[in-house]
Amino acid sequence: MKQTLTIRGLTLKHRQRTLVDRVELTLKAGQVHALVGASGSGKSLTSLGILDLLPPGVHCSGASLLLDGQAVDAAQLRGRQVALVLQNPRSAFNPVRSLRQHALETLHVRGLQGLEAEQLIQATLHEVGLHDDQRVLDSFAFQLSGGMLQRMMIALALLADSRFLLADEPTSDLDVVAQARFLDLLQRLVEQRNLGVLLITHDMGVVARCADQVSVMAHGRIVEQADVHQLFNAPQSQEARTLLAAHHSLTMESCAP
Amino acid sequence: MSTLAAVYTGKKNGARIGYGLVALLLLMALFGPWLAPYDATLVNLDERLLPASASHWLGTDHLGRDVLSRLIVGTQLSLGSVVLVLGLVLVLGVVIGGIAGIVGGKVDMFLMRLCDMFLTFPTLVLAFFLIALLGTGLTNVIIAIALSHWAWYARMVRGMVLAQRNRDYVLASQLAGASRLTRLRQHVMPNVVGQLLVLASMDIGHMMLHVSGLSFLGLGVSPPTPEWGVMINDAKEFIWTQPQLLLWPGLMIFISVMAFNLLGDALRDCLDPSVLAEIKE
Amino acid sequence: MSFIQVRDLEHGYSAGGLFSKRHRVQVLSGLNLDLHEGQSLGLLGGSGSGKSTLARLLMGLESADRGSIVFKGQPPFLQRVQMVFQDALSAFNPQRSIGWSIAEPLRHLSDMDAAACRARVEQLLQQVQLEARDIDKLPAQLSGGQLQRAGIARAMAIGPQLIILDEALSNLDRVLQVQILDLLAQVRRESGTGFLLITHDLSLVQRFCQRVVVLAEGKLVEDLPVTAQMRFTHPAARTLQEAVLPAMPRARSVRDHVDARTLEKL
Repeated sequence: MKQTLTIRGLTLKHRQRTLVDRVELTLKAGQVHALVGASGSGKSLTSLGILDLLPPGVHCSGASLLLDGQAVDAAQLRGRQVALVLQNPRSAFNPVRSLRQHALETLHVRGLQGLEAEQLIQATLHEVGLHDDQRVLDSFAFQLSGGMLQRMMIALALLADSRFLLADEPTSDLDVVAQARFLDLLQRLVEQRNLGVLLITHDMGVVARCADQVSVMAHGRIVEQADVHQLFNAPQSQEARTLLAAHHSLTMESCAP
Repeated sequence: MSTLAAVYTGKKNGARIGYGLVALLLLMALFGPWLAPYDATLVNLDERLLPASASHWLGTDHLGRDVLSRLIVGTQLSLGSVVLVLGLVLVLGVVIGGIAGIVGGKVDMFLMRLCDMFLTFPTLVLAFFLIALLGTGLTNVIIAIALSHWAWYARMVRGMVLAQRNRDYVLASQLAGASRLTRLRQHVMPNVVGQLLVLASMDIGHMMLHVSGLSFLGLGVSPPTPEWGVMINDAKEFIWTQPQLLLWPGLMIFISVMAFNLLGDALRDCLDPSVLAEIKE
Repeated sequence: MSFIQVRDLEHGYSAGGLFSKRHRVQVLSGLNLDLHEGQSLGLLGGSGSGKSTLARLLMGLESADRGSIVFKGQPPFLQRVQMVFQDALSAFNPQRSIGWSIAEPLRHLSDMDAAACRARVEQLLQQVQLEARDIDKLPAQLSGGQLQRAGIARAMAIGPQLIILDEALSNLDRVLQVQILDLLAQVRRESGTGFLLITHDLSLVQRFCQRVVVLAEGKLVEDLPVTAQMRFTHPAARTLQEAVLPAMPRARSVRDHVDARTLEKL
């Protein structure tokens, strides 16, 4: 199975404006690589750019993807080697199809059907903590909470047998409790399934919780790349310092003025 | 109005064409008799069915009347009647749909069942029935078509009012101390009326076809009054020998429908805040 | 007597319909709460705990099934309590300028004339650190953070004694959250306005509030002053406390040092 996914020189433009400038990073299996930055720094666009799922008007002017050193096309990676988990889980599901149909569709692409597929679906749902699997599978997206839908997204990613996961602010729409549970799940899966995760977030707390490697983004460029401990102890870039200052002021054990 | 102007000067060519055409049509409707080169009702049997020439740009019809003049003068009736129908339909729709949406409860239920009754009939069948009751003539055609169209608009308005009522900014307005009526006037209705106008402008073409259709069937204006639908009716006998007699009024209907559709697009852009913001910048 | 006294509040709604049986969902059952003037109170609760329902009841947008909400002195109550909404973009009429929307409470709840209103709006914009020229901008032209500041300006316009923030910071990123909390603290210092911060995030409460109450199972289960060492006892409250993300990364396990290929073989 694949071990590394390298993205080089990813540049995205909207008309003449450069939104993402020569981004380079490497995802390793079994590791969580966090991509942090303030809103508007280009983080989400980067993840969409990796899979060539760009919004209208935005085009990619140069990017190379290497899977274990071999050049690949974004289209080959989508839904197979690389899965995407979005911020708003509700928008990722077809509102008129049940979750079972989503799961079966994912497995159908892999060539799995029938009883084998059913068993795999059940096992995967248990793995992500959706134990009431029959009820969940019979439901539609609007009947479930945000936290459960996020887990379902992960389940679909696992069913697609993806080695790499791009998670774009997966916990921003969840409350703290659902967030904590989701991050627990993510860490467990990284360890057990050896997943490589690109975790996009604006919250240094999420980085502290799960990340191994961190890339800091500002104005479309990566301004710092370091191991997580190194970043927290000795941030080099202004952006990293700003983000850490905000983070620490909220986690410092201090009272209100 | 300033936003309409903004969309005009923005990058939308469709809007310019729409405005231009509508302005032209309006001109013809208001000043038709003065703009027309000949009297639209003047019969001259010596000059029947002449092809296009220098003196008659579009030729003459089977009674020797100048086609171009009839087209220009006919604008007033063809367009005017559609505008009247629209006006009636909008007033009925907004009032009934608005009351249903705001008051709710039993009033809402009663009004919606009334709508359902009117919606069960196919438009033209209802129009025929009403004309049978009221008699022929353009006024009755207008009333008949208005009565067969209003119910759909009332339902749309009711739905829009219900959707707008619970928006956060309407709640914010409530918390700012605005009365129910003020909230309606300042927050709910502007959005409803805006969307409604867009729908209406798209529907004008449809209504125009109904009016012309009924006139074509002989239920609308009586001769010698010029009107595009009637002109098509008159021309059908000559379809093999003088097909252009059918073409010109048909083209006018087509151009009018297109003009209003483009206008509708422009209106819709006016109301779309993100487009507005883009234009402002 | 405290500024607002809530006693035995009960409220629920009917759910179900097309896809599930109609049943009654009890959201608040026997809630008691006292709000004091000039205090910044944090109302903590997980999703579905009834926080927003309580906010709506306090604002008079709905009436409770049972129980009472009493304000010291007599209304007009909208002049004394105002609210900031969670989603700034849907809280502003998209076709009206920010200045128009911020001045709305002034037009209805005060007798200021147009010139005075405009002057007050300009003053408010300055207070929330927006620019004077933003007064004529449309909501679509401002960012999420700027729009939320405008929301705060609108809530402050009439000079209320209490501002309720109904998850008003939940859609903003950390940096913006801190900036806005600092702004609110400044407003509190300058004008003595009380705040009710409704949220699921304890870290925001710890930064800004003097007192915290926890809503779970339809009633208040904790009521503590905010201190550095505070610890909740009720399990639902403890879940919220333990869910707060850590300040520093923890030492990673041996996993890091194991060769990836070795892992494959296992």
